[in-house]
Amino acid sequence: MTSIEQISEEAFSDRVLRSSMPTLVDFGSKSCGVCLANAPAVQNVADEYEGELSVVKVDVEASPGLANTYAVRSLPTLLMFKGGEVVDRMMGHLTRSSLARFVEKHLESGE
Amino acid sequence: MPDTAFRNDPALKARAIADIADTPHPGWTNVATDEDRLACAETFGLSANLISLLSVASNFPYWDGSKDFMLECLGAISVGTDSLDLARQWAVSRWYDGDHAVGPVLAGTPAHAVAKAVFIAAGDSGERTVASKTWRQFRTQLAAIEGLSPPEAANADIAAALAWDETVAIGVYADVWKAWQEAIRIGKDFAAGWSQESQDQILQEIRDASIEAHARVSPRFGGEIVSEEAHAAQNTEINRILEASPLNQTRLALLEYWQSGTPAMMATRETSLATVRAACSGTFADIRKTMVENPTAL
Repeated sequence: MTSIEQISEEAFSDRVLRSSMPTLVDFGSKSCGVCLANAPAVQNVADEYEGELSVVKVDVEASPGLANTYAVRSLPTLLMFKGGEVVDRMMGHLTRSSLARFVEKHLESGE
Repeated sequence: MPDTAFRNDPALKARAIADIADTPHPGWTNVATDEDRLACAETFGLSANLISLLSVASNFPYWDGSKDFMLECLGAISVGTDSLDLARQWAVSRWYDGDHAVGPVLAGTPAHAVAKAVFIAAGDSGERTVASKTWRQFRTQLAAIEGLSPPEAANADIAAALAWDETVAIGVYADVWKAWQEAIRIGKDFAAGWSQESQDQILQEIRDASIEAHARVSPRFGGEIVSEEAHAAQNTEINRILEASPLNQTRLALLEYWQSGTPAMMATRETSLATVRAACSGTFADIRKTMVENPTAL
């Protein structure tokens, strides 16, 4: 199982903005029920696209600056980064299928 | 390898039923994590995927009838049966079973062949491993299909929800349930002339009309409302303008549709849950054989 790292504001540049891979950032918090409900789907997608996609989590309570910078107004919010830029966002409840479709749009290979 | 229900032990089945009735294990609940589900599966000798389907379908314990539903389903599962296959058979039967079958909705559309291949592969997955890459190709093909109506697209989404490796994706069949319920809702709305787009458009028009009415009325009340009486008078005036608007008839029609739709959806939910109860009692036929040998019926 792929380990999904929870990253701090300090690590964000290295792990996300300078990542050579498309990176899915899952903004959530421990008190967000939908975030917990989404967790299995996020884990499955991280496993499924390992090597093509990097997946990290940001706890908005621990990193409010990142939430503010990227206009995260509701939880959960998932942002897709490529080349240091936000290229897409998804909010609310999701299934592994809807998340996979969201992710695959941004991967180099459809295979 | 079969996921032998209750590890062939009637006493374990009794323990599972008692657990639901008393203080349920966290893994039974709709909000359980994968770890909770796996722990529950290990404790009671059931597939985590089946547990996930039961708890999500009944929204256990948050729906009033969910405990009875869980008890009925567990009671119906034969000791020693393949419990993962029960969930799998339920999911695959969505292709052809009942009033909300996927196959007939997709018949004649560009999604039919791929979606059917997904359902056949899912039916096969109990006997042979389907490569992760194959599931992904199915999903990619489904996502690339254009020109589907909203109900057709929603039914194609059911196939996409099914296109995962059941040994890795705990909850894949619960996701099929969610996608199926959504497709039923979208199909009903569409048939009644209320597509999601039209509902969104009407709600936006109501918001715009409300803002416009407020802008027309509020200057006559001095901009800032200082008394409760003035506030009430302003709202009365805004409501009078909105009720006189031609949009109001559409708003009332939409409200009436929503109100009449609630009992209908509850009845549909009961019918849908009955399919899960039937799966637990193992009453579905050999679905893969049906689909392969009788393709014209699908």
